[in-house]
Amino acid sequence: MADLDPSQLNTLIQAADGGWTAGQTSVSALSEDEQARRLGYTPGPGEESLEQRNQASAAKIGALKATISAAAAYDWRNVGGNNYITPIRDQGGCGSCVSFGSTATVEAMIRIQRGNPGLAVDLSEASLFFCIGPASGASCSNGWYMTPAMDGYKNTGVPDEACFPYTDHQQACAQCSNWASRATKISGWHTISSAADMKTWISTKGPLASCFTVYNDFFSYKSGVYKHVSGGVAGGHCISVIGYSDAGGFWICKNSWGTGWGEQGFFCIAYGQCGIDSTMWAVEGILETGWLNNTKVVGLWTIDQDRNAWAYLNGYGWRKIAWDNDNIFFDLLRLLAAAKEGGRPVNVYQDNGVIKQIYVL
Amino acid sequence: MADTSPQQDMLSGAGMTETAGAAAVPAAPTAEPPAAAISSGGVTAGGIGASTWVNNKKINALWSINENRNSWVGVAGVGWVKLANNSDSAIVAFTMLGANARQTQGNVNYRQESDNMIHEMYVW
Repeated sequence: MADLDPSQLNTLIQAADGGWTAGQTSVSALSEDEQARRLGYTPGPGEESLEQRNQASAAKIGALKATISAAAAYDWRNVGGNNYITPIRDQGGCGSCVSFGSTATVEAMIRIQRGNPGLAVDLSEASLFFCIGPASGASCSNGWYMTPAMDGYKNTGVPDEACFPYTDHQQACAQCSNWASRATKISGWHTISSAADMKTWISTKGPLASCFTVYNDFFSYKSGVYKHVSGGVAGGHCISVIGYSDAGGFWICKNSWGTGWGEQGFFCIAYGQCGIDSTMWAVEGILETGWLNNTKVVGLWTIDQDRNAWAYLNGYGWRKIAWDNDNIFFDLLRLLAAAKEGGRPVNVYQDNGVIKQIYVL
Repeated sequence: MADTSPQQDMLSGAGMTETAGAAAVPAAPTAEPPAAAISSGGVTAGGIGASTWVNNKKINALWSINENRNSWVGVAGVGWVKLANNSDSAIVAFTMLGANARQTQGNVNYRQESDNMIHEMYVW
């Protein structure tokens, strides 16, 4: 058993200035092999090693604690009383954390972009991991890395959970036949390595995906602000960073080990710990495909560029108008303007975020 | 020959307000509607060069003529302002938005450049 004795561990935590509480969790009593399968981050080409991440994080502790212009604290579970974070999942005994950490970040961005914290959104981690992942080496036993996961969201897209429900064992791609028409894509992604930029992004745009080194004591985390105290390296792990607190000096993260671990599945980790804030991954925007029914046009925008006009759809935000040719562009723009003038409801079909068909009702 | 312009005495003039920058290519809107729940705020624009944002105005007149790319909007409290004439599709889109603003009397935010033409426009 890899389980560390909670009372001994709590004594060590107190001796190290405290900050968090250890105890029995849903993963603390698992074997070392089983615990390792709750992880799954293996840095790939172009990504820092776990050791490099640890060193980079530790080196920027001054910047992490510096006063910046961003909000002093933020938590996407409570923004004006609204929770934009989708429910905690459990990756089980498969090293698919990269898929869960990236998908949690994308799901939150969808709710934020829509301005709808109650939006039913659940994307298929299985599709990302078992359909897109194998081309770059993803497997339950070997794990994966973040670059191809983000590229998968950008270039291929990931359908909803019902298209390919997740189960925690190695398997072939078995997503639904119409997965492409149900896929969500992102407009782009980039990495952020500046502490101030991480906080600014989180407090103005949304969560960030990140990866860090898991030590054995982390499996026993129950609550508080985690710092590594005891135990060796168990492996690399990816999660979604959903908030932070400058006063407490910690990041707030969404894990994928079920609600029986940590603070109902979430955890706080101190700035500069375990490589958590070496580099984070930002999802720039969501491109959706499908019908948006019974909405209204509340704004229009254009600029001095060829066929570049956008409509603001109530509840959905800005969408670009198809620009294939002049008559397509002007027909769609005129109908959207007519709907706005009359305050009429519209059904709009968007293809990767571009308005391509409209009914004015 | 210079383009014809609408009669100035049709409207009264006034000064401009608020300064921001020009958009990069390809551009996208950045402002949220006045009542949007998230990231609300006025028009923001990053970028280069001198330009002026004029916010929360009404369009109370329109003018066009049988000359190539020559269309203007009458802005309440400002006067006649010409729409950017660098592209067929752009000036038609601007004219459609101006017409929409005239019809609905919704608020308009626009970016005016040193050539005194409107180069970017929101209609709410």
